[in-house]
Amino acid sequence: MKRRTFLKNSLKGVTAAPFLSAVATKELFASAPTFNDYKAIVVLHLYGGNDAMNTFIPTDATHYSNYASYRKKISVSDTDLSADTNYKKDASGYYKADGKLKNPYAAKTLEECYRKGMYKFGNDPLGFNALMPELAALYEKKVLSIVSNVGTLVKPTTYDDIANGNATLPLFLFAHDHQRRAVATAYAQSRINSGWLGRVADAWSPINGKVGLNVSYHGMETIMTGRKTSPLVFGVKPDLFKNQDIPPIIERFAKTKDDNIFEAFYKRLNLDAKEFSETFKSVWDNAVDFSTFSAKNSYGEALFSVPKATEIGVDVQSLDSRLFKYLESIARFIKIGKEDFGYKRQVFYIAMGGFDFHSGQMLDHAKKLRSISLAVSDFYKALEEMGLHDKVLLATTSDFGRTLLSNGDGTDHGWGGHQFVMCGDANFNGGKVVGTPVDNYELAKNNTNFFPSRNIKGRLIPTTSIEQMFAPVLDWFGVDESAMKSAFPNLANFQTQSGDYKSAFLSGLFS
Amino acid sequence: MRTILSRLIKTTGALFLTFSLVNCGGGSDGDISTNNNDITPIKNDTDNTWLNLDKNATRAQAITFLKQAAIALNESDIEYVMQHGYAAWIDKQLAMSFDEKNSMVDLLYGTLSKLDTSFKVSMAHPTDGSSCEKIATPKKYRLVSNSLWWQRVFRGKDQLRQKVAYALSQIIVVSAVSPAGNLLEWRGEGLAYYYDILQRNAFGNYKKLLEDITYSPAMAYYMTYIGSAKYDPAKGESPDENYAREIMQMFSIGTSELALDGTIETKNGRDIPSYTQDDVMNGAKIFTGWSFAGNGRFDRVAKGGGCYILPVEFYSKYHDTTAKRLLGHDIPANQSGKEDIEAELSILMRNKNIAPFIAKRLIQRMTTSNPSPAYVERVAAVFNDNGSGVKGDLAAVVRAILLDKEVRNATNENQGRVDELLTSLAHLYSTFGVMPTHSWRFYGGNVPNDMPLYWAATNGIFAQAAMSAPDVFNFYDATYAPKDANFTKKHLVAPELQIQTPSNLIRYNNFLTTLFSLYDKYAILDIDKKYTSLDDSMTNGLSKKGQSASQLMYVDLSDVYRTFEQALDGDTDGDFAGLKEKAKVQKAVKALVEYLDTKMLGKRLPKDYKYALEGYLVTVEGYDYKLPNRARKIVVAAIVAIATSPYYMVIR
Repeated sequence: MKRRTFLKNSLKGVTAAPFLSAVATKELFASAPTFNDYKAIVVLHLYGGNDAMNTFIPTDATHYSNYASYRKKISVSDTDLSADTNYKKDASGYYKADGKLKNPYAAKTLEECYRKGMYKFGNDPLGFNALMPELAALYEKKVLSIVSNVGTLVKPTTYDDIANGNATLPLFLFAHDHQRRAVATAYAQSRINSGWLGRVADAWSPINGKVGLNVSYHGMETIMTGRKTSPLVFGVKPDLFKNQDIPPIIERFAKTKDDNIFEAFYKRLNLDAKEFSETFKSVWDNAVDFSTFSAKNSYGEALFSVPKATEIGVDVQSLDSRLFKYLESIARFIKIGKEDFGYKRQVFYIAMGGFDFHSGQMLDHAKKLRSISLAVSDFYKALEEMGLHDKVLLATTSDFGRTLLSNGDGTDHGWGGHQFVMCGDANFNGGKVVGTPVDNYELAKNNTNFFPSRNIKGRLIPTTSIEQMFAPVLDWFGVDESAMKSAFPNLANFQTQSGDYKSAFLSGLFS
Repeated sequence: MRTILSRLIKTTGALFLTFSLVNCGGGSDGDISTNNNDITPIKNDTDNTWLNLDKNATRAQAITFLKQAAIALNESDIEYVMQHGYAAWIDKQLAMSFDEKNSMVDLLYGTLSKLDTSFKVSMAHPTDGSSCEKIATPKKYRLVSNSLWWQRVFRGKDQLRQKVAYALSQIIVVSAVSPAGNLLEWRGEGLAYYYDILQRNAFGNYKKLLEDITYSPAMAYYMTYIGSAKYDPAKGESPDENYAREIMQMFSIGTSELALDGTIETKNGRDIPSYTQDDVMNGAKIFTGWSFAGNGRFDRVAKGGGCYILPVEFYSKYHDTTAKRLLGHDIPANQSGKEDIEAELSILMRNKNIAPFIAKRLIQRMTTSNPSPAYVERVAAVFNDNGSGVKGDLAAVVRAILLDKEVRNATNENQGRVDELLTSLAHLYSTFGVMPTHSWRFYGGNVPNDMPLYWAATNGIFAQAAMSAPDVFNFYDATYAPKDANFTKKHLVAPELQIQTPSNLIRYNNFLTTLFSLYDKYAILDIDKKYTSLDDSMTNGLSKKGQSASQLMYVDLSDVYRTFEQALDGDTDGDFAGLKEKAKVQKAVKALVEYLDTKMLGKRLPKDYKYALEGYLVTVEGYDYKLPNRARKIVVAAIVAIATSPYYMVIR
């Protein structure tokens, strides 16, 4: 056969090959577990270190007054907004904007709203910032819980351990990149390059063929990268080769011997790009259209539409529209993964940037919180309408929490911070503050809540580790003991009963 | 005068002669004789064959070298390197002083008032703080990142300076795009002023560079020490720790104690932290009392106010005057802000980490992702002492990086780095003579001072544009390693690949295809044969097709088409008649690939890859089987295939 004819013939077969064959052969691999149902985890990372103390505010009178005395002009008021008539819910228990001023906090500027008050429920130790009525409603619906004071730990660590020099501390506390790495690797004592979700993907490889278990909406993140596997990096929608995918075609037919590792790997990248384009060529645009959903957002508009300032009733210039787009895309990917690709398990990672509020906190943190509340609520409604709200779990992480003390216009890097988990599964305990509540918010030198330092600024020592919070989540997801131990090598350090790895789990998240 | 070969030079007379001659042109000959004595050969290292400074480089070697040392890949530079060698080119470049008349700030103010309607701005270059505070402008960062940066890159002969400034912009990062609401997005003049500091100090001393960026409004804003005040018990406010941490962690000494060769020192298997939280908090006190010039206010956050092109101003009232202790050194009480900063910078410069930390980062941005410890040590040693007892001489460091035997004599399979899509695009643009279009004038290939250019907004294509990193940690992580046995088993990294995801590669490929198809001067003028001039075609052709202002540029592929048609038809009349005959197509495609391989790579495409490419190109058809159209498709396919191939993207 002439070379040219050979090429032509081969090219015809190209479109069918790689992705589908990978899926079809999945069952041949013993290490990929089989599941009967579909489940997905979504991790939302608040990049830069979220100020958890202004997101979830202490409700106890003494705690609150201490908090307010340190935070001063950037503190949130203790006005209880859950009793306010502006806080309304529809028949399904979702927050619904209503009335002339469509915000429930009835304030004009974003800064005023940010400090307006909180939604408190009973004697629960933490309340929701005024800008998050949707999340408060989900909490009331018992599909969302707060996890108190989570952070990177090697083993349980107390004030005294640190003060006496007996603690094994995470490497480089308070440094963004190292703490993000510690959250991602769940191996805070040292540098390793693989993340805990990546190691789950390794254990389950080759689950989901070329797409794999992990889909990252924030680039090649460590948390999604295993020892052997990498996440599929995704955007709002898949990018496709427009006219031609020439280089990958040439890569395929060039049999060049590689004498350089970068060149060898670059060929693989070009082929990956081709497979990516082919995988999504026809499926994406035919997928679910959210504008046809009956559910609407808080303002009566299509899910995942970004409300305008006039609707929200405050002088906000713009919300974080990317979060809406990403969560919409994830909802779509879940539908495609489950129905078109026949997947049983998927993990999505999404990061929202800009939480490092050393300054400008009142204005910009306010926007972030409003965006999270609206977009996450839309996501839950979409899942509910797709009948998957009990099969999908969304949880937040962050680099670290922030200092109790203000620097005048913001806060500095801290350690522990509160997170939240959302899931509609009947076994999930919604509507709770889980984990150890912060004892007090008093910055005396001997206060055991905070990192001991010559210059105290109030950096919470975490009382729940990343692995303690997420091990029960992975357990719900179907991760077995051996994969769990590979995901969380420090888990044994948190066990309360020897030989029982589940005794390390944060209790109360699931029943 | 640069006398910086000292650590590298091997004692051959020929080498030294070359070196001296180059330096004589620099104008301050007196230094040479003084410094002759400083040239000390490296002990026990008699292997000097690698250096071969007097030996001409091949075209492929010259291209590799310039991809490491320049941003634009100019034919004149390729020829110079081939004729005179690497060292001569470097010395010529080091001798060029910073062109103050073409500073980014001047270009910005010279440009703004002449821009088209999307930038309705009329202003003069402000000369004092109060006049520059009044400026209210559209999103000027785009002008800086998408226009001025390119303009500076293409107009300047000072390519080494451009390369080093760009590398520094990825080590000492400020960014316009994140976090959202970042005022630098609007105050692009602050970015221009900042980038000028990087350019001005690219061959200067690292301490002076740190000093200048510390007083720059862009850094003061980005690292939030603007308006940071001493502890105020009444307000419950304490100094901002942001810059105090990052100037140590990211800009000078890093988090862990390092050996001179850049390897991490450990104790009981753990890193030894190079600073503590107390150092951060003491540092925070040092950077108190600074606010924008021009508005007479001490503001924590300057919402639109203040001057971004003058150094920040000191307000002693807000400065923490207590004694500080930093990295084991005492800083006395009652010093001014400047004295405190001088003290901190001196302490950082004295730290043993700064040489290996900065040396390794610069190496990774220029020559190789995985330098051997010995390479890092050689460069770090030059950082510590340029041969004249000066620490932090960047010119000496840059020279040592580029001339090291590890990169100039590379045979090792782990050697090299992947080019960034942004810089690779710059190489392509310059190879194919990219020019601004529309009605903006240009003269003989030189863009005059007052001409605005506007290039593609690359961050929308592949997540990269100058000074637009997502955060202070740059576009990608310096420790990123692909999940590939070749990398993981040997603990090797490929940082640039972290953002070369399938999506970004696809978008880049699509962009190049569009660029070379629709924005090719020859295609615009001759193939469609509709328009009388370039302006005519841009005004009546592309603009009617709804092309956006962000793509107002063209490339010139006329030599490529001529080569192709000459091989095809034996003429260059533009009919491409030979495309009807298979044998002719095969012959012409071979000539095309040969020509592009030479032009773009200096003949580096493997034989087998060329066969595959040629085999594909002969199958490429055009719309409606129009011959010139098919010619265009073939030519564009060939260029895009090579531009996105491993051989173009990997620099080694």
